[in-house]
Amino acid sequence: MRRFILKRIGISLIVIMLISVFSFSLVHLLPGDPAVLALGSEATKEQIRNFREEFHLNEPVVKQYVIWIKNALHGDFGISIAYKRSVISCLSERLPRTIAIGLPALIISSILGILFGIISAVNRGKFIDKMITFIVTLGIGTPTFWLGMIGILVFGLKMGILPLSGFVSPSENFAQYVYYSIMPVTVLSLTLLASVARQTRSNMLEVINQDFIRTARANGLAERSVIYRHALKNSLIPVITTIGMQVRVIVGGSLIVEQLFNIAGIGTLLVSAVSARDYMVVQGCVFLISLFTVACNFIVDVLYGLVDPRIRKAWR
Amino acid sequence: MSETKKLLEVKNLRTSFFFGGKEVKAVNDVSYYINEQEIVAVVGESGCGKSVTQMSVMQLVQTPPGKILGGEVLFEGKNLLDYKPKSREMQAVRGAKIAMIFQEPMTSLNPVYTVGSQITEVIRRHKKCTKKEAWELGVKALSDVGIPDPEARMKNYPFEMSGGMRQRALIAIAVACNSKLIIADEPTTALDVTTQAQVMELLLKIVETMHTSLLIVTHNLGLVSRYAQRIYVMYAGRIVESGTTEDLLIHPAHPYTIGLLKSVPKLEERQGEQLIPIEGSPPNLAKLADYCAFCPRCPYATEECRTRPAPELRSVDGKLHFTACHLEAIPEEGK
Repeated sequence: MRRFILKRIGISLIVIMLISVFSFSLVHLLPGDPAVLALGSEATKEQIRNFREEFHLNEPVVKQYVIWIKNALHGDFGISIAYKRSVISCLSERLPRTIAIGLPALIISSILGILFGIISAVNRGKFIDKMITFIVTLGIGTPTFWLGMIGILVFGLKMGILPLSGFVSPSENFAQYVYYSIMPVTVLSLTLLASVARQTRSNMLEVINQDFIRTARANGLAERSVIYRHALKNSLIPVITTIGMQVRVIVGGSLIVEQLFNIAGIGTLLVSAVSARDYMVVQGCVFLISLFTVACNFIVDVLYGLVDPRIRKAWR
Repeated sequence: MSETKKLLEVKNLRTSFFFGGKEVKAVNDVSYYINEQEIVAVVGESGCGKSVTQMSVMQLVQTPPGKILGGEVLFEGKNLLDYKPKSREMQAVRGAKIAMIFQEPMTSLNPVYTVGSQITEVIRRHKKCTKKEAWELGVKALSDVGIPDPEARMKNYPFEMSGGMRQRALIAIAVACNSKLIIADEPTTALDVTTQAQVMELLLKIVETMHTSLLIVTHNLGLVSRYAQRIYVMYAGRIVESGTTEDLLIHPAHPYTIGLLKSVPKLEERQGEQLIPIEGSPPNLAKLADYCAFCPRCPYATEECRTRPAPELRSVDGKLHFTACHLEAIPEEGK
């Protein structure tokens, strides 16, 4: 198991290296001079020259990359031109808010999605299955931004039971945090919940028809053990992939949700940085989000090994 | 055959599957019994309802589309069909009193749990014992079925074992709980020939040492003729002939049994002698005619066979030999 994990860490590090190259070249591949892009067309020649000096833009690209990666390893992603402060401080200020919305959404959608999937599969063809399937289909087909707007309209404006927008940090006031994040978290989790539920349902149905389930029943095991011990663990393997892959849905969704509910998280930071051509912030955000995705993939791989002994042993 | 006490008696069992309003009569009024410490075989082609019959006894038929419509399954004096399929009482019978072994050893064990974990789970389900005791019982069961190094094998996952080994492990689960009856549904079909013989010998040994009864479901008449004391022949959801192995092999009375025997290779047969297949294919169980279901394939069928209703089982010799055929005598050269 340790060797399996070490191997996965090694692979993740290689991927992170590649990502650093990509996010570095992101800016340098853009047409035009980064200095002009950053300072705007009205900048004087003097300003541009100083800017190029300061950010080593006159050096060869490879050397620029080495400088950038060296700084990045020290947590220095450069300076935000729009905010006039270090990129890392912008990120560390905003990341907790994105996590405060994204993590509960991920957990809720995974747990509820698996639960709905099981209920649906066990009661196949009955009313409750049809109802869940209907909601799931609706959930997959509904765009996040539309759902968010309808939510604001119905629960915020018409009924007035939930706040229209805003965010309170959980460390500040937990009750207020829950009150403010009900809607964004719900909106954010729905798509993932629907796809997890659908995946779990179809996997469960497939596994329930397998021979070893028949064996388990023929050996007199309780239905509870047959479903939750024998069927579930086997059906979870593809579901873990779905969750791991759909983490990007949460990341992408947070761009929209943060914009909708006016939450100053990574999503809004990235959007405003792109429109303000605050390229070091864009670089930092992209690198951070990529790191996060790699971390998720790593967790998925380890979970795979935990759930499926065939994978665990094959990775030795 | 000194034992005469009936362990399991199935009476007029009827199980059907319903697909889009069409009824498929998989088990159509089937009755049979097995005595204590007896080895009985149920023989028939694929799709004749022999497996569904056993699944009905265990109440493992998937509902829907399947449904047990009627009959009695008497085991130790109790009608198992009185219990609900998912009831605690029925679960206490499965695995503990009646164990079932299936055709596909490769896929019949859960791939994500160790063999030991699967055996001990069943033991602990049916016996009051600690985890450690259950583990020891599991090790003993594995060594009873002839698995070398059982301690280490307990910690193996199914994918680390061969097909024969897995089938032994499945038999070990049945042995561990001291089942009174083992139903083996095509236990050797998926195995290679040498392993087949080993598994059959193992089952025989278990019957002898543990005083269990064994019901073998198979399409291989040659295989069971060496082991079974009595044989039931099934065709199109019905039992068409039953009797001692001797009766059936030497004096077969039903044209279908005669056909089966002719299609099995014999050792003493001279080279060049041909095997004779049964012409045609089994009938569609959704569209059964009122008359004898074997009629269309029967070389001895007369006009009378098509006009009279499906034949009931009748005694051939006044003893244990029964056949469901209108014909009093089959022409001798046909045998």
